[in-house]
Amino acid sequence: MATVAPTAPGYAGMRAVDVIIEWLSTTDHKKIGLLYIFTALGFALVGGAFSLVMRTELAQTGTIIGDETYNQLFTMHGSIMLFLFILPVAAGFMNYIVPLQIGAPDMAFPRMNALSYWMFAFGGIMMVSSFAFSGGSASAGWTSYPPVASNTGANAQPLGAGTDLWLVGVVILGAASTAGAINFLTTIFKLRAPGMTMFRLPLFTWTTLVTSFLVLLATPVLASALIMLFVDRNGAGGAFFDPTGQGGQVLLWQNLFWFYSHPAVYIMILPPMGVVSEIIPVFSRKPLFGYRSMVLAIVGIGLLGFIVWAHHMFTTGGVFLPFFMASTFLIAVPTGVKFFNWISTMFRGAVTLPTAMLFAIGFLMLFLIGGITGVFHAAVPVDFHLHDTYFVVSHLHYVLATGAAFGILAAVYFWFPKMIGRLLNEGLGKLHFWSAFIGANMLFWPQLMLGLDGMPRRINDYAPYGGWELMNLISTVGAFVVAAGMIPFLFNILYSWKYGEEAGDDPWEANTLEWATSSPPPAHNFDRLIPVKSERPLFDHRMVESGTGAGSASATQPAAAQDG
Amino acid sequence: MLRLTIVAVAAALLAMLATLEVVGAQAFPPQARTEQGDEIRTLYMVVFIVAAVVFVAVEIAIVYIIFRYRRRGDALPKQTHGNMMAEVVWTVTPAVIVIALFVYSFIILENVESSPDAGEPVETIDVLGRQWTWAFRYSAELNTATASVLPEGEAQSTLAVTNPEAFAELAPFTTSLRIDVEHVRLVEVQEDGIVVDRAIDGTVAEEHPSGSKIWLLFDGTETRAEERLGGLEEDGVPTPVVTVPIGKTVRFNLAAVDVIHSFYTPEFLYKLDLVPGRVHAMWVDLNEEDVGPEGVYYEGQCAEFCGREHARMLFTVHALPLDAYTEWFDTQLAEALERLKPLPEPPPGAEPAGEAASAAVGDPVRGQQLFFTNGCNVCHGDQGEGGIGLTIAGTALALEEVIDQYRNPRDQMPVFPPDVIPDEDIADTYAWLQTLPSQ
Repeated sequence: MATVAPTAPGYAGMRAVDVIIEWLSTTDHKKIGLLYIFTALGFALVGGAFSLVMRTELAQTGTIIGDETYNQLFTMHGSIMLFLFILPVAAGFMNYIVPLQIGAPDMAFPRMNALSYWMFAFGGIMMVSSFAFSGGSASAGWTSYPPVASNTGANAQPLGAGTDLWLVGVVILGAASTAGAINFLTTIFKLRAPGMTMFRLPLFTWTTLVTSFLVLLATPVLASALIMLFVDRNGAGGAFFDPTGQGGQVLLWQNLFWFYSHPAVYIMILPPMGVVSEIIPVFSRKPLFGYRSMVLAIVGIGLLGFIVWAHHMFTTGGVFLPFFMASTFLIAVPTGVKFFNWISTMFRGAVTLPTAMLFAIGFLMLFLIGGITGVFHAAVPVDFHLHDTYFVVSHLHYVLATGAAFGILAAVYFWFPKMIGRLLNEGLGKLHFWSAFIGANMLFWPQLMLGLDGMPRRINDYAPYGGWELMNLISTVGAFVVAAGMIPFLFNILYSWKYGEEAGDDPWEANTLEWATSSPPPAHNFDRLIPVKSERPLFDHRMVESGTGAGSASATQPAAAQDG
Repeated sequence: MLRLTIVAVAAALLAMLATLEVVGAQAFPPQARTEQGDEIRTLYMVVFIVAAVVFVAVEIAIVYIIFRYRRRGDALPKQTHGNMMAEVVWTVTPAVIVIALFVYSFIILENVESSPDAGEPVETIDVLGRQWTWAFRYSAELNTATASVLPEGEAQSTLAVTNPEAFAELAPFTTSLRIDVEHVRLVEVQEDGIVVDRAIDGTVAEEHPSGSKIWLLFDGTETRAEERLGGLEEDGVPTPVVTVPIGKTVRFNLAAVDVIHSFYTPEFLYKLDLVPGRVHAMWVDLNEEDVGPEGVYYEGQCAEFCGREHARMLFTVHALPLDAYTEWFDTQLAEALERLKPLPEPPPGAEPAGEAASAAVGDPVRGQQLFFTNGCNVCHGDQGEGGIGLTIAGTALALEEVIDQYRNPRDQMPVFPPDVIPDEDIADTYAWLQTLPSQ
């Protein structure tokens, strides 16, 4: 039994080339989900390798790779990690899990779903291929501010074809995620199983829903900005961002860019929050505390996320500071509610700590730092000091690396058994978790101190005195600790795919519909749907199956008063 | 158990503060050297205390709960779905905290951004950012003002002034003036007015009403040959220095020539961007006490990514006590006035530029104008004496080598392709540089 991969039985009699064609032409949401996830993980390895080179450059004063290479690396590290890893890997999990969670046979538009994936793959390869062109990749930062990213006006270092490839690549990625968002919205609104009312949707599906709205509303603004910059750069008569004489406005780009890219932060963090909201109840053996307030918090974050974009521009001298300060402070409230609810879910629960739960708790403990350091930036005068220093670098990595990426890793450990049919090895998983947890803190905590001391971001070298060496060295060591933890993780995936313990349908005693079918699920997802009477249909089903034999606690009716 | 947790929280908080104390000032922003910085640092401390309490409390709660409520057997725990009262409390409590923080931050923001009362003496220093260095310009009283409206956006304007004699000793083209926050170049002195070139650097040509004061701008020539970064001294490019008074309000006018930069001095706890097409004002009151007449230095650098050599766009703030600053200012002004004297009449017999003037023999008068219209003076000084850039007065290089330097700079100098500055223009500027004494 151990010699054949669990996904393979269907291909038993097929030639390898037919299997490949099958995957290249698939419209099955599960296969597309896996394609997304593994493509994104591949890009993440590239982006991660770039960060190791950067940390090596910064470990000591003096330069090894020089400024132009460094600028390309940090630009592509950011672009890859955001556009080619976190966004698409989340899209992969949504693809795989959301139709299962709502009891649907597939996405609403399977072919458009495949189109989204292939646009993502094509746009990503386009962006990364820019290294092969003269002048190298884009090097204006993932934020690509003109005039640095322009090749007109007074800019002394006009950037080459890499920037155009970057712009076009991001437009294509934007088109992919817009199509994906339409698909998710339609799926969630139209393909829910009988009984699956909006307030019985699993939290991960709720975050997918709100995220898709954000994508749909924000991405066109980014696309227009990208096209305007492309027109500016390519002599097509544009001067949208060129202030020299033709009425262009430099800051217009920042407004348009952040009008997308701040909601994009929530696009990146909401799905991992959804993952954590799935995992914590399962491994606390309790329902999610305050389901409705969780949903309201997600919606609140989504709404507030649209009116805080200019907090990236506090030092530009071009925004109305008090408004954006107030809205930015306010967004701490729904985030705080979520924290209280997660903690209360574990409170008086029966907590177990498999790797998936460890990463979820790691998310809580470290995303908290990302959230709290955000409050420092919200206080505008403090941001005058901290903006564009390593404090911001640390803040955004606590949010996106130990927040979003930890949530994604939790999702990998949680749903791998469903997708592959076998459990990931717990020993290797714990090794991975602890090196990631310890390494990330070694990596990012010293950066808070560097930022407080005034070390700017996006520099490839710093003065050989002034106390920045030690913290930079610790940070670099931390980066390698995190990287070392990736080895057991990758090995674990390859090993457990073939030799892992068989998972069965529901290895975690979970609550939601994706666990009420086989692992991996059949092409049509469900042979038979269980009834949905609360946000925990599978829990209810287990209670019914076991009669009243689940102990005194089962006296509490599974379908709680909350579920309307 | 609750009491134990509270004790644990308190102990952890104390341990954390003690650790920060041992690690040293890096756990906090640097000691502020301005009144604005002091305000910002106070706000930081308030936010820090709130953050530390929340941080420690939540982390302790998480760790405590996963140990205290570990699964011990198959009994299903009580299936609580929520608690309306608790949820209201923990929605309202953070809201109250952030609203309080907002109000306090808003008050501090008002203080930090406030401009001084009218009549209070202010030292205006203009900061020009360009890839990848800084120019600092000081303003001297000229005792003259506009007597007509200077309209918006004109490239060259004729302007009536109240006291034309004020310009008598100033050379055309070499002299820059400031009207409000706009920089203009003196082109010609007429009987009752002056002709000025506009949009000569990062500042914007705006409308100025009649009666606007006109200031003489001069570059500070102080630089610091310190080794801030490994590459710097190899290129022979010293760090530009901005000299500022302690005890008098300083107004920095921030403008960018090419791309966005950010003027950041960590010890001010304050940065503001230099945005092309805009001029920003930043007010600071330096307040460090017990500074000797030699002053103190604070290090700063560009904080907004600005292209290839962003990491090396450094500057140094040299803070002087007010009387030492006044002395320094007067010396610098006297030197500047010497540099800005009009050129002597060309020697008799010199041919004006015309058909005969080939690329090899340039026209020094035109060359001098080009030197300023092309902005060479910003780095190389008004008389090619050097500054941020190298000394080039009376250069020993051949014309071909100079042209090559324009096209393929060997250092931080921007590239000037032939369609921007043609060979003939370089020949003219070269001819003017040859008339200057080499230094």
